[in-house]
Amino acid sequence: MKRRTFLSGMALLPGTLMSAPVPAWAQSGKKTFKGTLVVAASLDPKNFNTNYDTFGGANYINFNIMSKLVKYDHVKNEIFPDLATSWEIAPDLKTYTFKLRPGVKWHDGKPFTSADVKWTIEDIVREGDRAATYKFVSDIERVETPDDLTAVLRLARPNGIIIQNFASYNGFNILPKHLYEGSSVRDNPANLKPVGTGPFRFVEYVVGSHVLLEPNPNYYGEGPYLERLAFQILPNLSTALMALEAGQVGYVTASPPFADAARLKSVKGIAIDSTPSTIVMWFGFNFDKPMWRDIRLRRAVSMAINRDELVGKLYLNLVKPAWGHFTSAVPWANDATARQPEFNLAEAERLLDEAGYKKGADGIRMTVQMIVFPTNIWGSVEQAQMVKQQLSAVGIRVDVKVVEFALRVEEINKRGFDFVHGGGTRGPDPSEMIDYYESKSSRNNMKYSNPKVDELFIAGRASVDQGERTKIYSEIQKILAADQPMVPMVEYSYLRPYRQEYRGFSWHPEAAGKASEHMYNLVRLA
Amino acid sequence: MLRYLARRILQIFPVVLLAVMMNFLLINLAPGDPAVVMAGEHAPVEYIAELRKSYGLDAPVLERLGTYLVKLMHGDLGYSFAYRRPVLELLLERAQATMLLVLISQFFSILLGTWLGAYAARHHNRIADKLISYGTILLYCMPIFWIGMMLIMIFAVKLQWLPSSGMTSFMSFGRPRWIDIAIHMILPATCLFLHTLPIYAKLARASVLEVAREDFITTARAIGFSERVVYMRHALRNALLPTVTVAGLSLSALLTGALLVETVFAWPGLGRLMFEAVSARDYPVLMGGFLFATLLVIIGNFIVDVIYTYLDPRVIYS
Repeated sequence: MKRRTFLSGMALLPGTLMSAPVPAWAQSGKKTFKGTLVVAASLDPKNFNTNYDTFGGANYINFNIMSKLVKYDHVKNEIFPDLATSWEIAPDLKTYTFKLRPGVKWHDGKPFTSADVKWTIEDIVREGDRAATYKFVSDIERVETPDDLTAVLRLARPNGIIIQNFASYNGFNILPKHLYEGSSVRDNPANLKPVGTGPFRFVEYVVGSHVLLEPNPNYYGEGPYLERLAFQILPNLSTALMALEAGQVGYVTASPPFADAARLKSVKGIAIDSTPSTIVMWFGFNFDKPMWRDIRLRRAVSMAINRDELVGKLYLNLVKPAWGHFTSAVPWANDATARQPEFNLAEAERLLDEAGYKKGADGIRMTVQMIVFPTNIWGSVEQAQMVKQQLSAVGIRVDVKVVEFALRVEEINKRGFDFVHGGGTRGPDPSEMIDYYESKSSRNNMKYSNPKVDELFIAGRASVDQGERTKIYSEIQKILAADQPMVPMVEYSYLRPYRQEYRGFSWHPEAAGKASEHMYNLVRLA
Repeated sequence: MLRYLARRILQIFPVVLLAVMMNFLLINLAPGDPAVVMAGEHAPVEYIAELRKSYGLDAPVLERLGTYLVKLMHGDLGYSFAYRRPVLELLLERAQATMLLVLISQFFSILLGTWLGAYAARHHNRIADKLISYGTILLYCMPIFWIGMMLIMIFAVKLQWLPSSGMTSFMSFGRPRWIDIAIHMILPATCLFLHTLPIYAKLARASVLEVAREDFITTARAIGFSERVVYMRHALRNALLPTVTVAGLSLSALLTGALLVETVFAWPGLGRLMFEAVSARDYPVLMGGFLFATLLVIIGNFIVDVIYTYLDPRVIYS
C-alpha cells in the first residue's frame, strides 16, 4: 500500500513545532521548588480514574498528575504536545502515527513506553459505551507499537479530528499499563493512589479534606516550581472565599457570585481575572410536543429574550451574550453571521398571534414548564427566573421547576417539559457541538433532529483541513440559526479569584503552549 | 443490675433490625436512580441497565433488603457507588472527625451550660439571671451557619488568629498532627458549643428552680449549709436528670447540627458524607450512616440509664 504521510502539526496546529530551543530552566540543570499553593476545590475527587467513569471533582487534580498525548492550552485554546512530540496523519485519515517523548518515567520510576498508550486506548475501546471517554476513541480499531516510542493508530473509518479528541478537556489520560493490566480497572488501587507522568506526584488523599501533591523533579515540561500543591475540599463557596481572604487558600476554582466580584477585588492581596470559556448557557424546546415544532413559536420566544438584560443584571456585563450556536471563544470555527433574531417584543407578539396563541382575558397566552438543574456554573436557576420574567411580557407564563441532579434523566424522559435549561462546553473543537444537536446524541434533550445537520457533523469529522471544516461548521450554524432548536443566552466566563503573590496560572500569558486549564506547573511565588 | 444490662444489650438487636429495614425501604422509595448518577451524563441507556444489574439494583426491593441484611450480619456494609470503596472504611474515617467535634463541644456545653443555668437559678430574677437568660435566648435564635461565618470572619479573616476551615495545615508542616487538628477544631467546636449551650443552660435553670422549692432544700438550708453548697451540691445534683436525658437523646440530633458546621468549616465529617450521599443516591453509604446514627441513639440511651442510677439512688433496675 502506498502511503503518503504529511506532518499535520506543521500545517494545522501551531505549538507542535518540535525544534523548539531548550528552555532556560532546562539549561540550568536541577529544578528547585519553593512555596505552597492551596487550591480550594468544591467537590471531592472521589476517584482519580476518569477514563471509564466521570468523577466531577477529579479532573481539576488529574491534570497535574496524569498526562495526555496532546493537550489544549488555556490561553489560546491551541493544541500543544504532551506525551506525544509529533504525529503524522495518513491522507486517508485512517492511520495516525505518534512519536512519543523519550526518557519519560512514571512517578513510580518505571519507563513510559508506547505499550502504555496501546493499553490505555485499547482498553477503553474494549469497554465501549460503558467508558465515559469512549466517544473519543470509538473509531480506533487497534494500536500498533513498532518500537517503544512509536504508536500507530489504525482506524475503522476516516477521522480527521483524533488529535482534537485526544486533547479534549474530558478526554482520557494515559494510564500505567504495569499497574492496570490484568486487573479490574474500576477497582484498581491506583484509582485512589494515582501514578502518572505529570508535573506533580500524588502524596495523599484524605476523603472530604484534601489531596496533597509534591513536585515531580523528572517532569519533562516546564516546571513545576512549587514545593507543595494541595487541593482543599471546601464545599461552601463563602467559606472558600473567606479562606482566600485569610490567606489560607491561594486560588478558588469555583466562580464567585458575579455581584461579589467588585468587593473581592478591593480586598488587599486578592486579584480576580475573568477568563472566557467555551461554555454556552441556553434553553431548548421540547420537539416531542407538536406545538414547538412550529418555527413561529420558537422564533417568538427567542425574540422575547433580552440578552442584554440577562448579561447586565445577572453577570454585571462580565460575560458575553450568546447570539449563535457555537462560541466566539473559538473564532476560526465561529460564524458570527449565523445569529438568533434580535430582541423585538412587538414582532414576538405578532408571531404568537399568527400561530394561534391569542391572549386570554388575563393577558396570558399559554403556560409552559421550564426545567433547570443547578450546576457549578453560576446562574442556571437565576437565568430561568429571568426568562420567566421576560416571557411574561408577551403573555407566556413560565413555571420554573428546579430539579436536583439525580433526578435529571428521569425528569427529561417524562417529556412533560416545554423548555429545558442547559450549559456545558461546546469547544474548543466545533465537533463537540454534536452533543447537543445530533439526532441520536444522549445530551440532545430537545430531541431536535435535522438529517442535514447529522450529515454535516459526519463530514466535519472526516476532514483534517481547517478551511474546509470552517465551511462545514459554518453551514451547521446557519441551519441551526434558521431552525432555532434552542435559545443560546450567555457565553460564560469564569471569574478566577487568587492571591496576588502567585503568578503563572494556566490563563496567564506565560502559560501559553505549556499548560492546560487546571495545570499548576507554571505557578510560582511572585 | 448485670442481668438488666444483659437484657438491654440483647434488646439492641431487634431495634437495630427494625431501624435498618425502615431506613432501607425509605431510601429506596425516594425518587432518583443511583445507576443514572453513577453512569454520568453521556451514558447510553444500555449501560445504565447494565450498571443496575451489576449492583443488584434491578432486583425487587424486598429481595435487595434480604441481601443487605445477610451481608450486614457478616459485618459487610457494602460498597459505595460514588466512591467505589467499602462503606465501612469511609464511615470510620469520617465518623472519627465528627465524633471528635461533637463530643468535645457537647462536653463543654453541658458543663458550662449547666453551670450557667444553676448560677442563674441561684440568682433568680437578679441581674445575672436576666443577663444569662436573654443571652442564651439570643444565642439560641442565631442560625448555626451564621455563627460559623461570623467566627471565621472575626478570628480567621480579621484577626488571623485561627485557621478558617479544614482539618489540616498546608503552609506549616512542623507541628505535631494532634496540635494541628486541635487548632483547626477551635472554631467549629466553638460554633457547635454556642449552638447547644443555650439548651443546657435553660434546662438547668428551670430544673434547679423547681428543685429549689422542694422540702429537702429547705432542710439543707436549716442545717446551715451555705447557699453555694445548697445549690451546687443538693439542688443541682437532683436537677441533672433532665440534662442527662436530653444529652443522651441529642447525640444523634447533633449529627444534624454537625452537618451545617462541617459544611461551613469544611470539616471532613460524617454529616457532609451523608449529605453528599443523598444527592449522589449512594444507597450503601446512606444505609451505613443511618445505621451509625441508630446505634448512637441506642448507646446514648443506654448510657443515660446507667448514669441515672448514680445520680438518683432511688432508680433501681431489675
